[in-house]
Amino acid sequence: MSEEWADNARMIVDSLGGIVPEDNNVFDVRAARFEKPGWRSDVMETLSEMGLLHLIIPEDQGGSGLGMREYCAMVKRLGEGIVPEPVISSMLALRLAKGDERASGCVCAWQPQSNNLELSIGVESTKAGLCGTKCNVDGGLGATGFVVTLKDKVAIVKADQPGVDVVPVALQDGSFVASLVLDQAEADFIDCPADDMELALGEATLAHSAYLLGGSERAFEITLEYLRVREQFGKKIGSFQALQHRATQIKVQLQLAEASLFACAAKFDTSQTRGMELWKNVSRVKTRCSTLAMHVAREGIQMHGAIGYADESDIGLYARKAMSCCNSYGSASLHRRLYALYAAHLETLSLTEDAA
Amino acid sequence: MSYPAQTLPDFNQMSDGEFRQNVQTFLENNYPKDAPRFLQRRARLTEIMPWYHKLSEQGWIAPTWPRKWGGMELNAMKHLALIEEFEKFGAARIHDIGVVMLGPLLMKYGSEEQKAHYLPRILDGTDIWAQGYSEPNAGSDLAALRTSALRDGDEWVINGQKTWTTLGGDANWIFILARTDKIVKKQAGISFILVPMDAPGVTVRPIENLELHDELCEVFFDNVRVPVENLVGEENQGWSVAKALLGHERVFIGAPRLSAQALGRLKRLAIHTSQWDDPVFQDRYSALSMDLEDLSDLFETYTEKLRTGAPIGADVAVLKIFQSELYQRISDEMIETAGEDAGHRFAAEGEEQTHAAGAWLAARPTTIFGGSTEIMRNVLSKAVLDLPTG
Repeated sequence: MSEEWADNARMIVDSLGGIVPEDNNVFDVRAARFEKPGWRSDVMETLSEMGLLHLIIPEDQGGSGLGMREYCAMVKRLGEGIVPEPVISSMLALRLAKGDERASGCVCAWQPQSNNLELSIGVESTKAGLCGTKCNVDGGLGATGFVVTLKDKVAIVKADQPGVDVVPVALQDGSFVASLVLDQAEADFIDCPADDMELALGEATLAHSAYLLGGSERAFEITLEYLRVREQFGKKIGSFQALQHRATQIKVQLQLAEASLFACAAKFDTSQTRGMELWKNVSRVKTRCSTLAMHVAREGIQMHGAIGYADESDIGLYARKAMSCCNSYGSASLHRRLYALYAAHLETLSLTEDAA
Repeated sequence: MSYPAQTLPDFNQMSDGEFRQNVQTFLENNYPKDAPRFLQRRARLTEIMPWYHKLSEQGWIAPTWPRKWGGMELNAMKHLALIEEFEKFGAARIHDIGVVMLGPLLMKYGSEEQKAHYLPRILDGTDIWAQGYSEPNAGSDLAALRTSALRDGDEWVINGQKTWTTLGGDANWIFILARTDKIVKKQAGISFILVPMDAPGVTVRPIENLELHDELCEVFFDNVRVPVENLVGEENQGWSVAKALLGHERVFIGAPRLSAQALGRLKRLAIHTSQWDDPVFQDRYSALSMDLEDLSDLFETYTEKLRTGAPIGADVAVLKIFQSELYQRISDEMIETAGEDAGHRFAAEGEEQTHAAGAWLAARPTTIFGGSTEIMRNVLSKAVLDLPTG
């Protein structure tokens, strides 16, 4: 039985043919590496025109009102093509700004420093304007503006104004993030309670997990293709049982990740799970997908042998991508820690309820 | 012939401490002021030759060669100490294929004419050698190589392609394994031949590697002619000639220093990111630290064999497997520890030592080149565990 979300997801994925080629070639992505701003504005325009950046914005806020399963399916496909555009960052910006038009063309500046998921700190609103720094801003170079998370509200900050400094940081995959340094910058404000902010960050974290899963899946396929054609000792190397077993180990992890990801996305969509229970799920998915991405990167290169260490081999593009963003939205160890915290809190809560 | 090295003291008689002091003083006095130190990539020819020439003039260029041929004749322990002190100082690695590989091989298999001609030219840097073994379809299965050398009068005519030739663009000579008999069993028809890189028909194409450096090369041979005297050893015996090369290098490749250096960097990174005191991190770090110390103990058992002259068996492969995989696991932990900064392409100013992405990439080839981990495991399975082959 086909569910509505699955049909939607299929249509969305099919519509991405102009961005992720059907034959999965990565010529364009390879060619765009190491050039600022690290992403292609025409691709973002296409996604915007197709309405895909408003995918999860509720209909009453001018969006499509679709769910996390559709969102994850879309981003997973983008991950398969290691598309460098700041899709999740832009969608997070729109989500936090509640679909506000001023957030179009903006990316999200939410992280105060690496390994820190505290949205409300880093930048403060003063009488003279916004002051402070947000780091690891995906798509920060070339963005026309920023949705900056503050305490209980977000600020919309135009890039092209005094007091806004966008400092590029080059990443291994050839893309860039930026530090956003604000010194008395002007901004517009939109109220956004902490719960809404955390929900939006949870969505983005899950979507990023889908991106990592897509990349891992494709890196695995590329590796399998190589195992099927490369011959040494008069045999396809894929016929060696030692390599077969290692390949199946990746397959096991891929299926676990996919199941975990879409089960979590369904929890978002059906609204049966909220708050800490939901965050605990997100942390589980993110941990699995981050770990998976690096696992496939390592094995992909090793199974390719020397050619895997040459830049001309596509497996390297996927490995560099994994290195560059496996820890975005929190590393696996950070999420394991959060998972433990949520689990402990939930247990205390349930004990309290039982007592009552 | 007399060489500068023959005037050097007998380092092998010195205590470890005294010798290391000598090496440190030597580096302080001789390392060129403008030569790069702590380089994250291989130095290129123009950067390295002043150091090469300095080593040569002082007789320090060939640490393991016999004094008779202009070497320092260091024993394995002193050689290891020398390597460690050079690395501690951050001395750039010279183009050492001639010194490390070809020299010892010529001493064993070369004719008197070849020794007299080529060895001094390696010592003084006239010849910079590259190695031509791997081919696109002969990597792990090296004996499947197809580059051919056909006898035509007084010459070999060479056709084919070599790849993964380190610093091929900087070399003026290359030694290759080429097929000289296509009929016999594949290891049996291979010969070891010396080829000048400026011979007509030789072309070099650099390969950009995962670290975006271009020190690896492809080398193409199109009807390249060299004199028959350029054969080393007997015709069709090249496989044995090449195999015999690996002396104590097989032990040194498993030395714990790469892992030790990486673990030091992981610690710095953890301190830098305020995770050092975190018990969760300490748990993971301790596991790696114990692995490193165990590796050092294992390494010692092999250096002890070198010291006493006991034979090194095929089981030495365990050293390379564990060393290279530990190095990679430490670099994985650096990625995890660096958080969102892990993917930074360039190290921050003054933080080159904690650059996670650089460490991760640099650790990749150690399990691939010089006999991949998979091949090492095959060796262990067959030669040590005596398991049946399929």
